[in-house]
Amino acid sequence: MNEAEGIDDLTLQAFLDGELDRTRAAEVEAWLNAQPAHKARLREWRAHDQVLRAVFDPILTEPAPQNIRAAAHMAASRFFAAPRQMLLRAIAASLLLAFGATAGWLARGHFAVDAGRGGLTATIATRAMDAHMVYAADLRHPIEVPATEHEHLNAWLSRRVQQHIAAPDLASAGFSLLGGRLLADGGKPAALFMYEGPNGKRLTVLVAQNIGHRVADPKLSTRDDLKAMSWTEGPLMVAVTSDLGSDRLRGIGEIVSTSLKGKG
Amino acid sequence: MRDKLVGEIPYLRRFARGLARDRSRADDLVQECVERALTREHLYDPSRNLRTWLFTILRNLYLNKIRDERARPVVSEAKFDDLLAAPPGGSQFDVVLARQVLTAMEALSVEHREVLLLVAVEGLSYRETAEIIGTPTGTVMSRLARAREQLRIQIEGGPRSQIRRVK
Repeated sequence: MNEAEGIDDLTLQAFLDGELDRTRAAEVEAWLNAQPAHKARLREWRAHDQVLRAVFDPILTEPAPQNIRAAAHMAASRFFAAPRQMLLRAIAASLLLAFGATAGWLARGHFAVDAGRGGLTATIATRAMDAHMVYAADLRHPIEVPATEHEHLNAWLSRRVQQHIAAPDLASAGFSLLGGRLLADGGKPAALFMYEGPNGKRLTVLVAQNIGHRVADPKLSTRDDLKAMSWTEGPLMVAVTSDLGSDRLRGIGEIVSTSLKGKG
Repeated sequence: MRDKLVGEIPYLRRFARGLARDRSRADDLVQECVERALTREHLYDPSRNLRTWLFTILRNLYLNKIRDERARPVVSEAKFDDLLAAPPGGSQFDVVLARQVLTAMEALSVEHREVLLLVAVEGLSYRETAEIIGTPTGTVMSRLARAREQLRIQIEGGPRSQIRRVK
């Protein structure tokens, strides 16, 4: 319709929304003066926008309902009223220097979550899911040491976690090892093994020290699409995380458990 | 982030109302959004605008919710009615026009309604809107134009608008 001037509906709309630079806006304005029909249409758009604002703006000054204020307030007080967690954050911050910025960033996530509730496996599951979200989504650098350096990977992580650990072989479940990385888990070194399955689906196995040799049976935790299977394995705490179905994940959990028992 | 979050609640409530229409459903969404933002604070990039981050969370929660509802026998569609129950005072405000605009908004699909809310009501740029809904800017522009034209045609009614429609 207005090809000659290059002024179409989208340009007209961008003019209305203040998305044009000054020169272009002036051109549109001049053009509109000779186009009463388009000018009228623009006026209607503007009028409808104004009505929408008039209807929705009063919501801004309404007092927020109690449940929303409670949600914001509760989380804030949980955060500030926990000096122990502040201390853990300080430890995490110092580990940051040793383990690099990404591990520290992850550690922040650990302490944003209330680690005191929900039992042992619930907390490791939370941390495992945090780790999975951060690292499994990283297409370029999901790992520090690749599976091709298998021996070095196992030796290095075993030394840091102070337990004999070997990356479980999940080939029978269709997952191949990409490699692993060291994590700061609750202020202690932990190992994260990353696997890739069909269609590039990622699965992570978090292995941490089980301080005090507590005992916890396998437990399934979910967060949106993610599921974590977590349990204790003698001196180790283990969590397997992926967005697989719970039966599949449980099956893989059994393979991991058998494998860690054999080597640990 | 936590300090600033409280200041974002009014904007979250306004956007949620535009999406969910019903007041209590909207406020439930905001509550969930606040909780989720706090547990995922580590995923927030401080160089990013807090509001667009929160709006992204809120929108995803809403889309998940309507997807779940579609899987079950559907409840009747929520209306904007209560927004008109107490129209803002002043002679400038045309209640009849407001009712027409809201009725037309109810008829829009979610993807058209959300861009209109983000640009026209929330005053976000095309780029910010594109970031929230996860599409290129061009998609935002075409959906927005479509939404505005649908609104205009429904309010104006009649063939006059049809004739004048460009494209």
